[in-house]
Amino acid sequence: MAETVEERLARTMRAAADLVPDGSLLPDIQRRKAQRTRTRVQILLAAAAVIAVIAATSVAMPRPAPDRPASGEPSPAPTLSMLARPLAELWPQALVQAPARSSDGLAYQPKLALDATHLLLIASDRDDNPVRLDTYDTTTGTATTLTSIALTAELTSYTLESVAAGDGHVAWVTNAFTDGGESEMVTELWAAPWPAGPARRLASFAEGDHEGPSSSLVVGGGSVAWTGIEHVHSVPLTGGEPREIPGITPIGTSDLVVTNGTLSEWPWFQEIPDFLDVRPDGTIPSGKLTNIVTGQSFPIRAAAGVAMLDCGPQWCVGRVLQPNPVAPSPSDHASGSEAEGPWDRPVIQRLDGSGLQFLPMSPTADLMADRFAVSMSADRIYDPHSGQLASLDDPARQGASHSPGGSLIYGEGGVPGMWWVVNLKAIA
Amino acid sequence: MEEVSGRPASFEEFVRVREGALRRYGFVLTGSMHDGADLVQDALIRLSDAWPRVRAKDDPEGFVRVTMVRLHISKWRRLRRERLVSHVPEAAYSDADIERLSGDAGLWRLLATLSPRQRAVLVLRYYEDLADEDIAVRIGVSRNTVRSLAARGLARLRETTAVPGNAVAVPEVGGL
Repeated sequence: MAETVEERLARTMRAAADLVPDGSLLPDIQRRKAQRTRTRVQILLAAAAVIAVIAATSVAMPRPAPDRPASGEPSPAPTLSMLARPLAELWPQALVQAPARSSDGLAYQPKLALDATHLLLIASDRDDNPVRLDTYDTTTGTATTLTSIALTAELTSYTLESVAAGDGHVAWVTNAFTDGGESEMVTELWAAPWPAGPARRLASFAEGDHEGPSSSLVVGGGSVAWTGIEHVHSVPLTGGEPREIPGITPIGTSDLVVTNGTLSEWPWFQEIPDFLDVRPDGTIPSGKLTNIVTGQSFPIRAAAGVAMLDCGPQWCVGRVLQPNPVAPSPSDHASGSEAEGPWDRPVIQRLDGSGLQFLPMSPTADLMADRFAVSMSADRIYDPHSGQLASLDDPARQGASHSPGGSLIYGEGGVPGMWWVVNLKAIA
Repeated sequence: MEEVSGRPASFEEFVRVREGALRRYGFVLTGSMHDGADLVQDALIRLSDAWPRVRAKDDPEGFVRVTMVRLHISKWRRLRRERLVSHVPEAAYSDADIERLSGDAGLWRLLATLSPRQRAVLVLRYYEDLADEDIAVRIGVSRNTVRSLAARGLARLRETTAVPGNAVAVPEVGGL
């Protein structure tokens, strides 16, 4: 049988790799680190000057709500032994259904909650290629097309990379390819008004452009903002030139992969201290929440013994990894195994470390809609506002999917041909 | 978590043990000895900054490989044309060297005509043996984009190699 191009490729890459001669990299690395340290001091001094100018000139700019993170609420009693109530009883308005297929046969996937009664669905063809974004009214059971995905005639093979909603708009990022031999990848940023209106292409990036969206995308204040490789950028929903937001670096000063900064909700950029960044004295450095419109920032501080995992503008979830003076006693364990220490628990707290609450779930919790702590398997949902715990372990509801930071949980089972969906925006 | 035997005690030890494999990966990824070595150095400098937490997560090699591929496909890197003096010898290898090692020199040259992202996807698939889901995570795009990039890269290689006697206008091997 003739060798395929894939087999030839594997053989050729292995052969080429064997051409690399031996040699030590350590001397070069040490020399470059020394050079970089000298350069960085100069860059930091220049950046500090820029930030000082921004701080001095941004006082009069409008500040969208919330202006500052909430804090200072008294910590309620530990909740480890509290009983969960079925979600359908506790928040009946939040448990809804959405169709698994469109009327023209496309597969629907629930993506996000637009408000208490509307969901955004991705409609894909049989090869899993995204075709449209549709909205779904859960009160009337009506699906409406918001936009097609493939909107630029010169591009093909569109894929959907991220979607965000806010400010009466839905924004999305696609990758697509130019036709012809070169076939370059093009990343586009689009937005459309919701409930209806023409889609507008806000920006287009050539392959590898460091301004192109690399992870987080948020909509608010008449703009779309995203994190690029090195900076945070924004563009008005009405169109215009994208601008770089000064003084904010999503990757820290040198670290490309362990990202420590992200946009989770307009207009907040947060840098959360990595839970492994424990100082020799056992403390964890504080993080920072920055308003990208005003430049004003607030510290994010872990409560004593808490290692932070994820934060929104209002709440953080983490884990208590060290003995904590306010930890409940082991006898409070309702469902935890004996092997778990009383402090080895997920917790939720305000950004400043106040309002610490121990979560009756294990092993970890995800923060959703900047309020709800959701267990890893999504069978427990805790609301720190009301102190209520919902269970979602009905055997009819299978395979729950949820994304940390998202606004809905969904899965199969129950009514044939329908998704069950928990719309977290429907919980007052 | 299970304690992995031979877990590197220090950054320097990790570099000494793994630099050979990482440099080979850098060369296959970039197609250039200079760029490959430069890329490994860039990634290792980032690893040394993040060493305490990356070591605690037990995957320094994964960190370096993800960093390398992301750095390589970013324009930032391609625009940064400075050439740092390196102690790595620049081997003047030839087509015959690749053929001697059972490689296809013509196909190796053709790889240089692909975009960095297309090439990266093919390297991750056929050199690193990664699944499309894992490639998607490494380069920060969706699985469908990985599929498209691979299909387009392979199609280009197939259509160019299918033409008998096709002269490929790419730089001389080893001359980059």
